[in-house]
Amino acid sequence: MKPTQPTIATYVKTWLVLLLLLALTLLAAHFDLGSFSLPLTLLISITQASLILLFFMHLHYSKSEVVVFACAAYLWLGFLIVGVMHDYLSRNWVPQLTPQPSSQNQSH
Amino acid sequence: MNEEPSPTERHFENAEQQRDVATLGMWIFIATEVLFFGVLFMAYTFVRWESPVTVAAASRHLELGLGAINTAVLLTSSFVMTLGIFFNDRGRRRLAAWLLVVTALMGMFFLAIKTTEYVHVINEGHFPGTRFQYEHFHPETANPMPSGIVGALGTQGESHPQEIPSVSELFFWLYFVMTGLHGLHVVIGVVLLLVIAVMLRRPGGASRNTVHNAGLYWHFVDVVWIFLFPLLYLACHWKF
Amino acid sequence: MSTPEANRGYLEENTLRSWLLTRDHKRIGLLYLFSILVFFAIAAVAAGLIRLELLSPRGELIRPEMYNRLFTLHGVLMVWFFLIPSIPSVLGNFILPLMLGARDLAFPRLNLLSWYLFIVGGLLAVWAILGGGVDTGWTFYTPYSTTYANGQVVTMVAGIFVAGFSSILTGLNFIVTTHKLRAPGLTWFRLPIFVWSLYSTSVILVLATPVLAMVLTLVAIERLWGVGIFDPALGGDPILFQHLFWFYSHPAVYVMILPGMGVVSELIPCFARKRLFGYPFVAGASVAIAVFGFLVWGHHMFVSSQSPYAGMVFSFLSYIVAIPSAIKVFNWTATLYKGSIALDTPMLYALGFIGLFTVGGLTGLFLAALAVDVHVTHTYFVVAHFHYIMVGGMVLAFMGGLHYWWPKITGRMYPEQLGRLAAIVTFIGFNLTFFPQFVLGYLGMPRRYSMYPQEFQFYHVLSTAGASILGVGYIMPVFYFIWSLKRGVHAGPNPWSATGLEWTTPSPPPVENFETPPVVTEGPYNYPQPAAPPPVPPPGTSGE
Repeated sequence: MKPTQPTIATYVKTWLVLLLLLALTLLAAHFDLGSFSLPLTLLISITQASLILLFFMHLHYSKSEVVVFACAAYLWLGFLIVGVMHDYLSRNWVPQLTPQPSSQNQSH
Repeated sequence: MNEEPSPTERHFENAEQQRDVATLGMWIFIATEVLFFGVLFMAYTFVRWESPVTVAAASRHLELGLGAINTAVLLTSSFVMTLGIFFNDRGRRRLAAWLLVVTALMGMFFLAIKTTEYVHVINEGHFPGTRFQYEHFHPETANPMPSGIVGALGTQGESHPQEIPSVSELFFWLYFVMTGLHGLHVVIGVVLLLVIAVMLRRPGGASRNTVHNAGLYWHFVDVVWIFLFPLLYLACHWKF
Repeated sequence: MSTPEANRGYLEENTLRSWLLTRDHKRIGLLYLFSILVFFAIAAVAAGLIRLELLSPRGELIRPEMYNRLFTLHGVLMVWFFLIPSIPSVLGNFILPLMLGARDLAFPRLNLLSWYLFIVGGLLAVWAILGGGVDTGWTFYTPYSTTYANGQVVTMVAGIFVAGFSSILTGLNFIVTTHKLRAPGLTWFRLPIFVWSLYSTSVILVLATPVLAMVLTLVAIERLWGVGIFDPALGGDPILFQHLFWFYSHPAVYVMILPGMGVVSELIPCFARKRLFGYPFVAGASVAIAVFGFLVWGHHMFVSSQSPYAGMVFSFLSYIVAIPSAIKVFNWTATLYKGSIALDTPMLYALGFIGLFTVGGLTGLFLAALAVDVHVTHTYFVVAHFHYIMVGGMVLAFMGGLHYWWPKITGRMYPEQLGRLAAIVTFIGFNLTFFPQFVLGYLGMPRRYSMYPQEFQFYHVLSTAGASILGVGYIMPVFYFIWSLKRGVHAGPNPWSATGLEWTTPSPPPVENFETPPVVTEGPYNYPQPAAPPPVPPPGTSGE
């Protein structure tokens, strides 16, 4: 059976944490974190989304088939992004066939 | 739990089965929406990987303050929605109806701010198309990323060709398509919530399942914005 | 529990309103049957014209611009308006609730909506055809479709978009029904394989189709407003279109074949009078195909400038995804072994499926090999490969299922001898049409060309001759099925002595399917096993 039903306290706490995380995102944008900024921003967004899914959308209290479909959607989106990007990211691994006068790409 | 019994349709055994069916069905619909929006996030990933500096420069032209306010509004509207569902489950239909109306009003406030942003963007000449003002977007005049030309996605040190300035137009294309599609979903949500709020005033109108599913829809629309906001508005860093 | 109205035959009330506003899954299945056959006919006429044009190397029965429109029409209608809906929306709609012991699908009104969406999508496609047609091929590659093509691209993609939502709703309905509306005692591993196949198909439909919907929307936006993500001048990429398109369209081919495999898994045990061999493996293979089918789309892009490393990954995964299909073929064969085989019409179609699907699947492996693909991609080898699977596989399975469940659907038997004859004619016509195309492709004949060098003509003539025989094989059932509605022998509840809940209810079934809701106590395919050989007595003892 389902675990306990969410209470208003759960909702309030979740909402406050969500706003806190929003503030954190804005704060992080203020500092130049170089290549860490995108992963950090995404991590915060994923945390916010997870809180909404688990508590506002009751995934924490839902039956297993619902949880499977909820997660499958994001997993499949992951297939799309990883699958496409692994093409683009590996394009430059092919060695140049005609020599360039300036510095060449390294071949793997 | 003091629920009003909803009429069980003929082909269901009992109310619990009907409720499980409604919930699972709604989550599968949400899964389709994740993939639907997901294509746009894929397109965004491609553009940002390809031209991180130009994307960052373009992103700076968005109004971060308005975007941040909108995010807070949507998060709060989700919170109000959960309260609406909570009270509806306990039979407090009139209170629930008002909470749904408040949620819808917050959605309309979001749309008002969004419209303002759109107007500003168009007035600045950043609407994609023949009148797009490229001269605002030369990568070398934008705030340079102090960590060098490689943007946040990092690309193993291979050399990109000089970034194409017209990617800035593509960025705004993504901005309008992604926030536009999201905005359309907000409009649908607002209408849905107002209709349900009216139905809740009558006994026997708007079943528990309908209200729950409307909540799931609204929260999902919020989740999409949670990703849209940082990816579009925070692709660069901002000094306050 | 059930009322007198619920126990009437579902075909009894016969007003237009009762059909167009029905929520009965059985009627909706029939509405789909009629609709898909209309689109099949249009697309088949297009194929006929194509084959006529290809009789001569330089002849111009049809202008090249028209030829391009014909093969596009053929592809679009066959893929989205015939193959994808065929088994799920016709046989699945009709049979799935019966197999589950349910009174209807989980969302009967959504079911009706999905049919209306299908019709609206189809009307948009027809409007596009009548308004000048589309010549991009069913694959809509950019930048041709977004920038250079003249034609009704936007209307056509709108039609496909709407039809896509039809299939999303069907898939959603099937998944929820399978999870929640099973009869008491019907656990997952007691389900017929047809249910497993429809479930796997439905998972693909709900996860893949939204991607198609969005990518077609992006094509339309770029075409209408001239700005888009597929335009290299703006920093976009036409290959991105191919990635996004094939992310849907490869799983879509599994949408097209999995239900056919499900039908075959019903036919083989029934007509071999033997329990399905390796049931858990066949069930698991269905799910594996659905999942792995999402990871191989790049094999359509080996020569597109996709990175060779990505090509290797996609090639490897394409070999992996062949394994569950092969597992099914081995299990069907093992089921046939030592079975008591009855060569009724459905069985003929099922046997044809196994052979032709195997050929199609193996040639897919040829294509999945990177180096081979460089030579045969975009040739008739590919055309033959997918027609072996879609026609030799899927259409045969659809015909087999239609014949098998016809008595349940209509309460009448079709004429058996004519059925067998049509199956054999179809098989012969099919092979004569498409086997020469493997040779053509290997020899270098490109696909989508209406003119070709003289030395290919012999094979094209064979192929066109085969197509005319295939046409006869298709038309025969139309006539004898219609004939059977009035003159066919009345069928009882279980004319095939088959197992499965659908055979426990009258033919045709009552409106609410079961007079008393069934309770299941045993697994599927509980056919009598063949007699075991007598035990060998141990040496040194006298035998019994």
